[in-house]
Amino acid sequence: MPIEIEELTELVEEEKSAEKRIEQARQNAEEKIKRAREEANKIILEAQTLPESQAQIAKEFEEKKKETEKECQRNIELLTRQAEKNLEQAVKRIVEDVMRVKS
Amino acid sequence: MSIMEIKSHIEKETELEVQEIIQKAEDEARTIIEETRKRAATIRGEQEQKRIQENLSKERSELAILRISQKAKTSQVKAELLDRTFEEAKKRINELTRDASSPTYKELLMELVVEGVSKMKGSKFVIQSNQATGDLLKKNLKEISKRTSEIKGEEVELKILPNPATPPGVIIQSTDEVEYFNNTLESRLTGARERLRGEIYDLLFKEGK
Repeated sequence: MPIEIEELTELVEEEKSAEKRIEQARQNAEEKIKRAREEANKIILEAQTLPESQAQIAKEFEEKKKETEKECQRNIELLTRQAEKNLEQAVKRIVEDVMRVKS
Repeated sequence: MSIMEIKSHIEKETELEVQEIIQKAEDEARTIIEETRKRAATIRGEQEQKRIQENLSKERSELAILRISQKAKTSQVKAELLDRTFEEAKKRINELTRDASSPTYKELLMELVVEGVSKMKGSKFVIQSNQATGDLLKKNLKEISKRTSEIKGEEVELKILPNPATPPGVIIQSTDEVEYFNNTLESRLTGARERLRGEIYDLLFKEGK
């Protein structure tokens, strides 16, 4: 069955339209992969960035140090109070020793 | 094949190719994201481990330094309290011996001379003391000589030599100046500080008193 010029033209147009659709699909596909790569880069960057918990850890450590310092201060105060309580007895012992003469 | 059939075929084939392109792109994008997420999880795990190690190491060293400095601070406070105790004892001794004519000082002085003489060789001694102590010694010289002679089992000869620089107490010298015995209260306190340091330390910082 012979094909008419008009029909051939229609076929050519159909082919052109098909190529356009395929080209469009390829562009969309490339765009999709590009976005996926961008998203991947973002994910890696986020993974490499220190989380906020690091600041929290540093804060907790500083508090630990402060607590240790306070504990030392409390210990010193306790020692001082003990020494003050026992001072009289200690002084008495020294005075006795110095004043006691063995001949 | 009619023209309509050809067109329909082209359309079908095109649709298939388009779907294949889309499917392939979706698969590739999904693979990229999935692999990246796995990689990110590994990175996060490694980062976390590294951070934990760094923090531990930092904490350990900083806390060790802090504890050393606190230990030093505590030791310094203890040493200061110990010094304060000996200073207080010194004050009390000075108060007790301030009045050279008091019976307490007189008795102590006699004992100081007797102790010194009894620990030295010979029978002739020079006793150095400050003026007030020297006066007191002169007043009681007979009694002191008697007691020292009794202890040494021979006649002891004592000479008083006033020296304003001598602290309360006495410094006893042999007449040839070879031997001497420092029995000033200052010297005795220095000796007590060396001997009693540990005992006073325990007394001061013992709990539950």
